[in-house]
This record gives sequence, C-alpha cells and structure tokens, in this order.
Amino acid sequence: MNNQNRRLFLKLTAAGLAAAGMPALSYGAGFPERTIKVFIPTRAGGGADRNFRNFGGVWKDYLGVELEPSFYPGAAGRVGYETYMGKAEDDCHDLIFGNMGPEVLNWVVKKPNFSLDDYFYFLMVDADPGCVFISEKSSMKTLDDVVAEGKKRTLTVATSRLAHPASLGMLVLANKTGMKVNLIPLSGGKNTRNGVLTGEVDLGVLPVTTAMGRKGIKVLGLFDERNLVPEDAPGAVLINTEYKLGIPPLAAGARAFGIKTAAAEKYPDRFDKLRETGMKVFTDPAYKEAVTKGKGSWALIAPGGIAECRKYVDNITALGQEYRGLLTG
Amino acid sequence: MALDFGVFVSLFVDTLDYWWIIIPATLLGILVGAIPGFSAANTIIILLPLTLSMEPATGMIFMVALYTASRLGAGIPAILVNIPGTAGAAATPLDGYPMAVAGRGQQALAISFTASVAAGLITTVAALILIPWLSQVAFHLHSVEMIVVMLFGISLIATISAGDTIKGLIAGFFGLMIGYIGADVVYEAPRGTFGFLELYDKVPLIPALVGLFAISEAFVVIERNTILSEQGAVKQQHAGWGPTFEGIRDTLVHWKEVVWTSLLGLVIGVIPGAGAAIASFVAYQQSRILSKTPELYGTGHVPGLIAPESANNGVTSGTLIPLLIIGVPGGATAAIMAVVLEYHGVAFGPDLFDSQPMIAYGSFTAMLITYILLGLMILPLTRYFSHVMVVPTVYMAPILIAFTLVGSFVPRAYVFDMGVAIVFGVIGYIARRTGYHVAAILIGVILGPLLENYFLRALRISQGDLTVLFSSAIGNTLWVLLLLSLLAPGLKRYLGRLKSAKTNATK
Amino acid sequence: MQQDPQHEARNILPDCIIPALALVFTVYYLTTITEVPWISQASAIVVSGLLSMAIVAFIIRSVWRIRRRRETLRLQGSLQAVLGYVPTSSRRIGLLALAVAYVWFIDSLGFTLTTLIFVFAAIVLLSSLANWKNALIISVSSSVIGYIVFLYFFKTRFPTGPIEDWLKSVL
Repeated sequence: MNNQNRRLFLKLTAAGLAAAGMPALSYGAGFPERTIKVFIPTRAGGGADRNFRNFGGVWKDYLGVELEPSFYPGAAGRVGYETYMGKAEDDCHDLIFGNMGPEVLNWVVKKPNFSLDDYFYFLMVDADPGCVFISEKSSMKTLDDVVAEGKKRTLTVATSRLAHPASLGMLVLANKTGMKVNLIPLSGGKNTRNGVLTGEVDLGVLPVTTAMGRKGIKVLGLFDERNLVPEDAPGAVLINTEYKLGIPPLAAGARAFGIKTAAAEKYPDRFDKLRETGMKVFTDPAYKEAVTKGKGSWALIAPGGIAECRKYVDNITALGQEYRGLLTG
Repeated sequence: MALDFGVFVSLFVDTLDYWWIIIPATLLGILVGAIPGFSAANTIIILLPLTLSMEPATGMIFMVALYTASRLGAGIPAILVNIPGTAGAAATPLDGYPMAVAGRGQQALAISFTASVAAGLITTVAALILIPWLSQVAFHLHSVEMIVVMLFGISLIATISAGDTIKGLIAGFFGLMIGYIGADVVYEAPRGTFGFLELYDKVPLIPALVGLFAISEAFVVIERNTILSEQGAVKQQHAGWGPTFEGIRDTLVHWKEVVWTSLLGLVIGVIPGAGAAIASFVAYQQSRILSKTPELYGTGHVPGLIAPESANNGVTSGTLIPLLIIGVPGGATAAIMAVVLEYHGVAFGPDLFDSQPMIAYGSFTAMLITYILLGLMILPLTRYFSHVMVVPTVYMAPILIAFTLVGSFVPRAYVFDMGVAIVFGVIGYIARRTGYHVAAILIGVILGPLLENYFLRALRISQGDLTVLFSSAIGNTLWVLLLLSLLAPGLKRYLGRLKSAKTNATK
Repeated sequence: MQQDPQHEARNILPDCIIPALALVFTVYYLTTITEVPWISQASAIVVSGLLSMAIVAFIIRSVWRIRRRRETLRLQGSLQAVLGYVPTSSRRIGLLALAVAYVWFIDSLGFTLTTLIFVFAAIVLLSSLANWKNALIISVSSSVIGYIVFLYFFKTRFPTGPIEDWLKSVL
C-alpha cells in the first residue's frame, strides 16, 4: 500500500471511529486553525533544522496544516526561548523545537528571564548520544591514545558550546583519567566538525549524528552504555562504562517539542491532539524513510512523552549543577 | 581527480541539458541579488522544499546558478543607488556610486558585469585545474592566519579616508565597537546590547548595511532633483549604447587587475568562514596600494570598481571547493548547499568526482554556463537599468526607504531590525554631513565580529598566550605582507620625493 | 591668501557629533563588560583604547587649528550644517518621523497598508499635496509589487494587517 492510500485509509478509519462516538478522536475539533509556528533556537541548516524537517514533514499530514519553522539563533539558545516566551500565543499554535541537552544545561549556568515552569517539553524526538571524534589524519587512533596523550600535554577539544552535554562528558572523562583538556567552543556542529577536520584542534565532541558517517572523521567513543549505531561508528568505545564515569547515559542531542504551560492548561484538548498526533509520526513509514535517507540513524529516534522529557530535564539539571564549576570554566 | 579536456567538454555539454533549470535560476538570482535583504543563502532556504524535491544534481545546479547570478545582481543597486544588496557588494559602491552620480551609471554597470563575468570564468576554470591544491588551503589557514587576513581588510579603514585619516580612524573604530555588540563566542556573555535580545547574536548586517548606505543617502539626496549631479544629468541624457561598450573596453584594458583580484577572491573563498565581503575589501585595499593613482580611488575610478567585483565573483567558485572535497563549506551559501546534498545522502570527498561527476564537476560547469548566460543577458540591460538614476528624488527617496526597511526585515523576520536600519541611517547621515566615511564604519561592523571570533578562538586554543599570533610560518609571512602593504604608500611617497629631489638637484 | 580669518574658520562643532556618539557608546559598552571573563573583554578594550587615542588626536588637532583660527566651535549655524536649510531641513525631519512611524505601525497595520501610507505621505511631504495623483499611483503600485514579491511569491513573514487578511479571504 503506498503512502497516499495508507493515509486515506487512516483518515477513513478515523472518521469511522469518530462517527461511532469514540470521544478520544473528536478532541480539539477545529484545531489547528492556522499554520503551526515552530520556534527553533538555532541557525537554519543545523541539526535541529534537519530533525525538524524530517518530523514536521510527516506530522503536518496528521495535523492538516503546515508547520512553519522560524529560526532564532543566539546566546546558546537563549534568544530563541526568550523570543518564544515573549511572542508565542497561548493557543497551542506556537511551539518550540529545541535540543533539551545544551539548552537546559544553559539554564543551569545562566538563568533565563522567564520562569522554568512557564514551558515544558512534551514530545521527545531523538536521543543522540555524545561522542568523541577525531580526524582520520590524527596520530591518535584510539581513545586510549587520546587519554595517554592528554596526560602528556593539554589537548584542544572542539565542542559546539561550553554548556553542552558532550562537553560535560569530556570534562568528566578528563576528571576521571587525569588527562588535561581545553574545550574550544566553535558554535554549532558544523563548525566543530570543521575545526577537527582542518586540524585546528586535536579532537572534538558532539552528538554522534552530527559527527558519524562523515568523510575524514572517526568516532572513537560514545558517552552511552550501548552502541546503537555500530555501522556508522564502528569500534566506538562505550566511555561511560569503559572509564567508569559514573554518569547516566544522557543523550547529548535530545531534540524535543516544547510548549508554553499556559497554552497547554488553557486548551487541554488542543494540547492532547498535538501529543497524540505527534506520537503517530513515529509509526509512520514515511518518517522512517525521511530519517534514514539523510544522515540520521533510525536507531537514535527515541519517542518520548511528557514524563520522558521531564526525566531527561531533571537528570541533566542535576548533573549540570554537580559539574557547574567545570562548565563555567 | 585529474580532469582531462575531453571529459570536461563532454561534461560541459551534459550540463547544457540542464538549461531549463539554469535559466530560471539565473533570472531569480539576479532578482534576489538586487533586492537588499535577500541573498542566495536565504533564498535557497526559502526554496528548500523545492530543491529537496529535485534530483541532487539538478538541485545542485539550480543552487549554483542562483548563487552565481545573485552576485551580479547585488552589484546593480550598489552602483546605481548606493545600496549593496549583500555584504559581499559592500565595497562596490565605493567607486561605482560616484561613477553613477556623475552620469556614468551605465558604464559602471557594464564594468561591473564584464569584470564579474570575466572573473567568474577565469576562476571557475582555475578552480577546476587547481582543485587538488585549493582543497588543502583550509588545512593551513587557521584562526591565527585568519586574524591577519581580517586585518588586511580592516586596514582599508585607514586608507579609505585618505583625506582625513584621523576622522577615518574614528569612524572605523566606532564601527568595530558596534561590531562587538552581542554575545561572545566563548562564554556567550551579552555585551553592549542595551538589553535587547535581538542584539545578542551581533548587530544584524543587512540593516547596518542599508542604513549606513541607502537610508542615509535617501536623506542626503532630497536636496537634489535626481541622484545624478548636474553634469551627470546632461551626460546621462545623451547616452546610447556607447557607455556599455566603453565599460566593456575599460574592463578589458584592466585585464591584469581582473585576473589577480579574481584569483585573490578564489583563494579567500576557499577559506571556511571568510567570504565575499572580506575578499572584496582586501582586493580593493590591495588594488589601491599597488595603483599608481591611489588618490583617484573613491572618486569613481575604474580599477576601484573592478577589484571588488571580480574578487567577490572569484569567491563564488572558491567556496564550493572545500565543500566538495573535504565536506567543509567555504561560506554561508555553501553551507546550505551542504544541507541539501546531505539530505540526499551525498558523500563528500575526492571520490565524489568519480562517483557523481554531475554534482562535483557539474557544479563548476553549471557555473561556467551561468556566467556565459549572464554575460549575454545582462549586458544589454545596462542601458535600461541606469534609467533608474533619472527618477526624481521625491519619488526615489520614499521608495528607497520603504524597500530597504523591508529588506532589513527579511533575513531574521524581526521588526526590530527595521528600527536598527533607521538608527544606522541616522548615524550614516550625520557621518556623511560631517565628513566621516560611512564605509569605514561599515567595515568595522562587518569585520569586527569576524576578527574577534578568530582572535578569541586563537587565544582560547593557546590558553591566553598572545605569542600564538606569531606562531605559524604562514601567519608570519602574512604579517610581513600586511606590514609591507601598510607601509607601501608612505614608502612610495618617500621614494617619489627622493626622486624628484634628485631631478631638481640635477637641473 | 591673507583673507579675514573669521570668514575662513570652519565650524567643527558638527564634526564632534560622531566622536561624541562613539565615546558615549564606548563608555556604555565598557560598563556592560565589567563582569565577563577577560577573554570576552580583550577585543573591546583594545579597540576602545585605539578609539580614545584617535579622539584625543582629533581634539589636539582641533585645538591647534582653532588657535590658528582655521577652525572654530560655535553653536550658531551648526544645526543648519547638519540638517540643511528650510525647507530641506524640515523635510528631512519629516521623512525621519515618517520612517519611524512606518516601523512603529507595521506590526498592527500590516506590510501592505503601512507601505502604501508611508510612500504616499513621504512623496507628498517631499513635493506637495498638489502632487497627490502621482503619489497615489506610486504608493499603490509599490505596495502591490511589494505584496506580490514578498508576501505572495517569497512568502516572507511580514506582519499582516487588514489588507492581507482581506486578500487571503479573496484569493
């Protein structure tokens, strides 16, 4: 059955069920009334953009309206969140799509102007573990080489931002092994990769999707307890267990949709429709196709609701507080 | 990867099959290039749904043609109404606009187009031949070297206002300070933002650009009937096709200038993070230093227009090389192209030239075809474009202000940015009326943040050790060249005086 | 060239506006970076030092020239030097006020209507009310072209207002 037929089938089924008086499906009738506006706190063309395009491209069919992204980069995501909190309407048509890892970690370092209870994440899209990567031209070939070298001299480590779960992983690793590292924030995954590729820095840390499968780059290790991407990051060491870091497997990239608390409270039926239709995207083959066609890996897609998002946010906040000193340099 | 001539010809012919996509892309490129605020990069973003649905080779050819054409388009308003459509055209009005005011707008356009097309053709062919070497440039030019490259551009501040160096420096340093508004790259600490969130990500470039150049100009010109000076108006009325041919001839006479500035642009284009703006400033500065008549620059001097225009077209072909070979985009537009190619799962690298020649070589052949097409299409239009100049200022000024404010809005969709443009318009107006060079301020605003980024990165890598600035052989060579280029004008004057003293003595 | 020096002396008060602006801004900027790490202060401190040096040089030169009566500082005529003479000066101020109003109202009135009103008002301001026909033609056509290019073709997210809403319901 091709996509078109399948969707038609789904629609007809839904209509049939609604007619049969299934209340769950009549929620939020008439919603959405207009395009869903999605605030993205990073630059166009980055990792969040790619993830959003894949997801939004399928979600729109379930919502019946387009999802229009607008990008508000700046100050480690602060500009995007502050703009969202300031401009977004409380009618469930305005959402934010961010990377919970670095953005929540940023709040630990520097509190935003709004209260953290004023928004929450409700739809987690992926869990992209942090990784340590290196240029294939480098003389260091394994993570052990890196650690050994780091004991001799201070290694320069490219990262997207200082307050990033991947940076945090690197700092914990350095702490445990006694190697010396100097984190170089290069703003954004692309620049971080370029810094490593052109040999300006010794190695880099990033969410693995942004580093793996690229020419000239070798992923040495993952800050995770299992390797979900064995094909793209062959031979990657599982750093958390291998070096006994004592930190939970926190994804460095955990993209999720968030919403203003006021909007979800004011229109619970609309919010439920967003949640329910959002979860359906994960079972749609079109979504899987979009993810695998790009550089993404289906194994890293991790559907999650409010509870999963909450747990992630709490974990990363606690860890951020524990290592606050290291993050602020 | 070595390309033999036969393969090249057959690829060229294959690329011609894509005429149906190249022609609309070229027309669209000229249009978006000419509208301030639009650029190839954000047009490609707007059109992503379209490009993503094309075959990767088709999409790439479309993007390349659009990008190439937008460069030429940006020169049109820069010359005729003093609005550089993009930062890459910021050095174009320095000599282009004075020519237009003097009634030589048609000729200036012809010069700009001929120089652009010639530079584009030269560098595209050069790029194809030099790919194996050029792709290595990124490995050797790191933050330290980039600091010096930026200083080359910034040193233009000192020479641009040769009439009054002190005022020029005040304007330039003021611009640099404005450029430092916003969060720094290392600690993301907001600085000098007046509490505006919209300024955290630095002063937006397009509003600064249109404010300083166009809006301030609109306030100035309302005391005249048209943008043209009196003599200019007389000259313009009697123009036929003559000025177009004159412009072409002017450019061909200065062929050496075209060749070296375009190659300079090519090399700068290859460096990730450096773009058309820095290339055109550096080219202008170096052209002025090497010139026998530096005092004519800024008054409507032909080489002063050729240098930035051929340099920024050189960048166009340069920016693709590191993208295709090492997967590192040379600039913002190339970065968006990378997104499209990645979406299709295209793997970058030297293998790309064997596995997908239509994407790898096709990018360059498409660029060649676009340039040829542009040459044929746009030169005849010079005569008509320049009629814009006779529109009375009572109509021109309001339309200029409205459309440049609109252009300020487009890149980030903030109404705030329109306000920024007005503020810069007022600053620019005061600067013009009181003898400060707006271009000096602008150079600071554009290059200041770039310089700071590289500077902070270098310092962070060296852990605060300032000697890192002199730690690389290439960097040190560049420092020496920078020093020489700064001293050259004085040295030349001194030698000249010595010589005339000698001849006087012998008399 | 021994003319009356009073006639030759150039009033440089207007020339002091840009240095004064630069100085005020720099002082403000420096107050905002007192608590950031030194690495984030470095560039600004270097440049503000250079800027201060350039301004000091400007002051010294001006004092020297004023003493030789080549330049002078006086309030009289300064405003005209910057803004021009009536009616150009009042047109400039009016145009600036219109531009500010344009940005102020675009959020509520929408792109098309605000552009139309701005262009019309500005043309009338710069010429005269007698020119209203031309002003109307140009303002209507520029807002229509603007609508087609920006909102319809490029789908830019301009603020919308009554006209856009109406067009949306019609199209």
